[in-house]
Amino acid sequence: MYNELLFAAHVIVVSVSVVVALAHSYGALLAVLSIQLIVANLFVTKQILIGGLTTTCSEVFIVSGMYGISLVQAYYGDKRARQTIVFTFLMLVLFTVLSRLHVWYEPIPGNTIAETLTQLLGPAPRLLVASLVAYVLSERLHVYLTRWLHLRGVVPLMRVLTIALGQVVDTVTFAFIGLYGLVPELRSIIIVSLIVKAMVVLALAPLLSCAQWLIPTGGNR
Amino acid sequence: MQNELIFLTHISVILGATLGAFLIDKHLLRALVCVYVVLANIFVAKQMVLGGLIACGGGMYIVGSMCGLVLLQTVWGKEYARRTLYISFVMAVLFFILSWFQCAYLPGPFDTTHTLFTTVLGRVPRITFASLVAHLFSQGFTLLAQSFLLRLTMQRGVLAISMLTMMAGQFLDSALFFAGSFYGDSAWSVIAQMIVVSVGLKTVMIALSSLLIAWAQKRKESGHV
Repeated sequence: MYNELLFAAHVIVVSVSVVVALAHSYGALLAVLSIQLIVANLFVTKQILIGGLTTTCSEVFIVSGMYGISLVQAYYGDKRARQTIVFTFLMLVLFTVLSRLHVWYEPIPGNTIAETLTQLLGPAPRLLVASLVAYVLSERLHVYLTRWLHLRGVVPLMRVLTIALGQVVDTVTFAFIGLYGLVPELRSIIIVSLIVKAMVVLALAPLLSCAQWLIPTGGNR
Repeated sequence: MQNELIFLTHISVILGATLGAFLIDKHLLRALVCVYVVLANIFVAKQMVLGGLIACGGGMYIVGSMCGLVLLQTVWGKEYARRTLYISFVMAVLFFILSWFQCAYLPGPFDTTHTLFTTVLGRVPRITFASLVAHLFSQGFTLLAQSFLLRLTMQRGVLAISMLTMMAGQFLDSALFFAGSFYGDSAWSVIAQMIVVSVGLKTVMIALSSLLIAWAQKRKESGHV
């Protein structure tokens, strides 16, 4: 039960940080989302048990990422939301480049942390590629399916299915490109990731209403 | 020579990213300054030889964040830059909390990375605390020293006094930060070298800042930002 309680507390902390940042300014919110994306890619290799299933420590950032982008869309518009996705990915690219440079430095003798950092930062380029490919594929699929359904007279339920399908493609693509061979329980990780995403999608509308009740307009400091 | 070449590349990437963010969007630049503070906390523990002296992996990010703050202040005002600085400290605390969670989770039966994370992230609370204390003390010292010296000289030599007190404040900031972060883990001679390298980087940055300010002013007047 320990990991489950920690996970719940973790979700609350990251969600609150997103809302507090929103209350301050768009820049603060962008900083929080960027840092959480970087940290998600850094922390993903640690495996834990949640509800008896093996998962990674980065699932919680799915919540904050989806919630954060939805808040940007609600408060600042579609254009800003798309821009936010681009900006956060640029931060991830920068982090990957900088971490490579750090790995290449020759450390002083006896600096044991250097070897540890190298092991932790090793997967960063692969994870970046996985994130980008997964995002592009799921986004393209979502756009294609939306247009296809629109031409055929879209039914509201079909929209939900296109979002769900997009998320499945995103999760499976990232897992195979980013984590295959790196973590042993890939199927379990994919299942937990999909469950977390489904829960976030269901909880998004009330969470957004809650934020809009607390913060009528986005911060501008 | 390898480390020095990597260092030059590293600084170029950081400065390039900072200038790029400045030209794209002020919010992106604000976010980047915050990201630099977090990256400094992650990479500070690695020590390498640069120019014959021992340096830490976080020094380059100080250059990046100082550069970003100077640009923000020049175009969008002191208040915007000051708020960005405080947001960056809050981000450092957020990273400390996220690191705590990462280490607190019980690892699964097939996990091999728990020890790696506790080794690297275990230092984050101390580093974050040292960074906050160092900043508060050095800021306070700089303001007090500036005001005292200006009273003494009856408001003469403002530029020289500003430069002098800023340099002294940065030295105090580096000394407190490295002593607080590495005391007990590294020898005093190593800590002293890291302070020297850090102050050297900041001195170069302060000297370059007037060029940066002039360039930013030009971009602002031409309407490019």
